[in-house]
Amino acid sequence: MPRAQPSGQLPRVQPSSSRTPTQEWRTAKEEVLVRLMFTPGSSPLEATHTFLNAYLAERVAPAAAQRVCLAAYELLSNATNYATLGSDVVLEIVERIGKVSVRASNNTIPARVAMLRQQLEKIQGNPEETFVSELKRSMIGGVSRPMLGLARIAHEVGLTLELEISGDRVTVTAAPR
Amino acid sequence: MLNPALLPPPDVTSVKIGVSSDGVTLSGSITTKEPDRSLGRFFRTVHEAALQSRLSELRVDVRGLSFVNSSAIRVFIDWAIWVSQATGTGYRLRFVRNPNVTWQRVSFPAIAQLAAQHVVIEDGS
Repeated sequence: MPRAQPSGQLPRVQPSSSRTPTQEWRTAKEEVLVRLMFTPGSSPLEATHTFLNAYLAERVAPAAAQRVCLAAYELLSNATNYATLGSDVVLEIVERIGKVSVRASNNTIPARVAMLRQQLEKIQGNPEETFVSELKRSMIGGVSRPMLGLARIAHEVGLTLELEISGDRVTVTAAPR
Repeated sequence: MLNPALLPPPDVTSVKIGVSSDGVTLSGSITTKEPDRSLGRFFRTVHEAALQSRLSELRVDVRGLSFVNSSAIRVFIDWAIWVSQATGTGYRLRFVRNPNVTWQRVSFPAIAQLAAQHVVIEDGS
């Protein structure tokens, strides 16, 4: 079980209202479809992507499967890269009122929490601009992978990103608008 | 013209790579953590072969690529940069995409913007 579960009491980076999932979605009962646990620094990406691709193909429409697979890959990639030693990394695929979302949680250092908060604020402010600027940063050799992955989730597949923090535990959720 | 016999593709899990006289075809998905080490090196070899052969255009058909990770997008960006920075008679890099595949629809116009004179995006059927 993940240590941090979504809770209204946790600090949360709020996206602008036009990108916020509906209140109905927020309060709806959720069903955890998939819960996978990993260790930091592990390389579960290819196998997890293959598994989720096959699983979601049976469960949701192709477009939704494409969105969820991309979000799961990028969130898991960041979570395994930035988790502190000894932290468990949890990836969950969750369904609420017929909509599928992804969340990844891990323990990390305060500097990473601050960076993540900044990145998400920037992405939520303007997903497209952030995506293009991250591509440009790639062009000049910037270290852009974590941010580009998050920007892809928001811009490319149009999911909303939310950050929850509980102590050193961070949970990033990619949810439909 | 490229000589496919001189351009053996790397063995990358979940990606199928074909080489023909006018370019490269990719299908499957790129999920490997460091694609620059395998695909990136291969793309560089193809790029150099294209320059050597004085190709006017190189075709990269990505229609069958259903998913790529962020690191792989960077590999395509690198290729666009190489073409834009080539000295002498360079070539035009033509990406043939499937606009129904989200990552292709969103990423390639942005990549083309980064090297506008040298990269062309074609919507394939």
